[in-house]
Amino acid sequence: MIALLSALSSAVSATQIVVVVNESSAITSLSEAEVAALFLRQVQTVSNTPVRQIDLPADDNLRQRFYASITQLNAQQLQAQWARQVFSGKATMPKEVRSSPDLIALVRQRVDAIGYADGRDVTPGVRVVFTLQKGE
Amino acid sequence: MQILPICRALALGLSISALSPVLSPVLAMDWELGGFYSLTAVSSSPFDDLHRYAPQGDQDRSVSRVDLAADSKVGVMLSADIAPRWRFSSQLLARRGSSNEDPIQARLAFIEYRPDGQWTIKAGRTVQGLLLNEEAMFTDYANLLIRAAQEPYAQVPKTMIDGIAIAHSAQFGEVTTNLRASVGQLTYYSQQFQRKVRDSAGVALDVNYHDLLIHAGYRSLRVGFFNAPATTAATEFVRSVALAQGREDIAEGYDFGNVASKQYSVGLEYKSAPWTVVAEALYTKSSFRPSPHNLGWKAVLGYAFGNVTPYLGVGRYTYSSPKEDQIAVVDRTSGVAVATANYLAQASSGAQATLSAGIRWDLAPKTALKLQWDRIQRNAGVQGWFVSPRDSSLLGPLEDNHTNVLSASLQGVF
Repeated sequence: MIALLSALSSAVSATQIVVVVNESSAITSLSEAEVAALFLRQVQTVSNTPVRQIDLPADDNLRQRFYASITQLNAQQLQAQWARQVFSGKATMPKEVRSSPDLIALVRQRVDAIGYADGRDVTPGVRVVFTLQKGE
Repeated sequence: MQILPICRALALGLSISALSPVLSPVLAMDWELGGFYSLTAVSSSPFDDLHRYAPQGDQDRSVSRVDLAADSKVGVMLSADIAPRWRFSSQLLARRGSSNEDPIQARLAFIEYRPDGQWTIKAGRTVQGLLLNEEAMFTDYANLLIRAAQEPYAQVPKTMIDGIAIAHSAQFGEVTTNLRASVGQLTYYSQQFQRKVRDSAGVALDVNYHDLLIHAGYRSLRVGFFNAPATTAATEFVRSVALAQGREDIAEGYDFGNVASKQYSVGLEYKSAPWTVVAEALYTKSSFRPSPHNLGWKAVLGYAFGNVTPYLGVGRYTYSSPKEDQIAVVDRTSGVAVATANYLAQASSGAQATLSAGIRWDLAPKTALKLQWDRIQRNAGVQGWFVSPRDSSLLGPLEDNHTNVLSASLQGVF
């Protein structure tokens, strides 16, 4: 039993969060600062390429881990920040999909899409441009 | 009995079918619909003719003892990518404004073009963004306070413009910048007066570094009244009195229908869980006698305990005009125009300060419940956030005073 739990724990901790774009995108890699600015909606472009951020649902564990890693904001501050950006007309409304595989599928379809996903869900057709380091 | 609705439904269906060749590309666009709301109850104490809370610009409305209408609002935003690099956005805001104001207004309605990744050009109704929260000042959920602080937001209550806005965003390592320039005009109502903003040109800069946002803004504009006979007559009266007293400079420059104004702002926001700190100030210099110099500022501090965030806020504004500008003391009993002229002609100063304490409970991911107490201190004669009797020359109590305002609000986004 202990061995099973240990194996599960090891599998979970091995899950890496990756930021992905369409394989046709001009974006080849991103820094953590660029990822943070993009997903805080401070910028709508990177490397002179307009992008469209894709999110997982608010209660998704992967989403919570992702934002906890790239920002210092709690969930309420984050939601308030987006509300201000969106309803001022500065940023587009977050586009949400149900799961990490759905996000990968959408990024494969849209050249301008960018999102974060479970590294194990990555398929051909998307490019990993940033990987959260373990422990983040 | 059900035939008529069925016929209507069929007719509607046929109409839509006939329009389908036109509608299908529209429906195929990537539409987004979202919105925000505030359901707010407000009560002020004492509650009498000069101590009834109403949002800035709405003070000609009646106010009930526990008022649900004053600060409640709902906004709906619709956006769509209409072509590569082209986007359409509109935001309808429903709220009870001043008595002559439409209950539903277009807060935003613009076409956006992105020639490249860094530049954005908007044409239509946008917002100039002089203050930190001004562009989303009706999205109460986005802020800690229940409503935008009157100090300093009252000085820019209607900042949308019909015009053009150009923005440039950039990232330099861990610093991101957003620079906006805009020009335009607007006609709107504040209290019972129709007002005009003309030749409004503004620039605003946001600099983000980690958890820190620094904001600076400048705006030059001309403000005037359209349908205010009392102030038109008062303008003539002030001019004639000024001429009689040998003050050609005042007589020549004084025009209540065309007040030149320059506004300067700085702001700072620090958000790093569990802390939230916001501070900003706005200075306005205008030819609007008797208060050509206005300074308003506020500071808010919040600390989150899980989903509950207690907060404190302080704000103050002052206005003044030099005593050497005083030209006349006229009879207050000789009618509204003369009383208004008297008010406009005298050198004056005033101040309002607000101390706020509240608690925000984020009870669901996009929903917050807030309770807030405000203690609003006014100098004698200052109207501030409160209703004054219509057609009265008395704007506020004749002695220094304070009012307590209690508010409860359910706010959210969808």
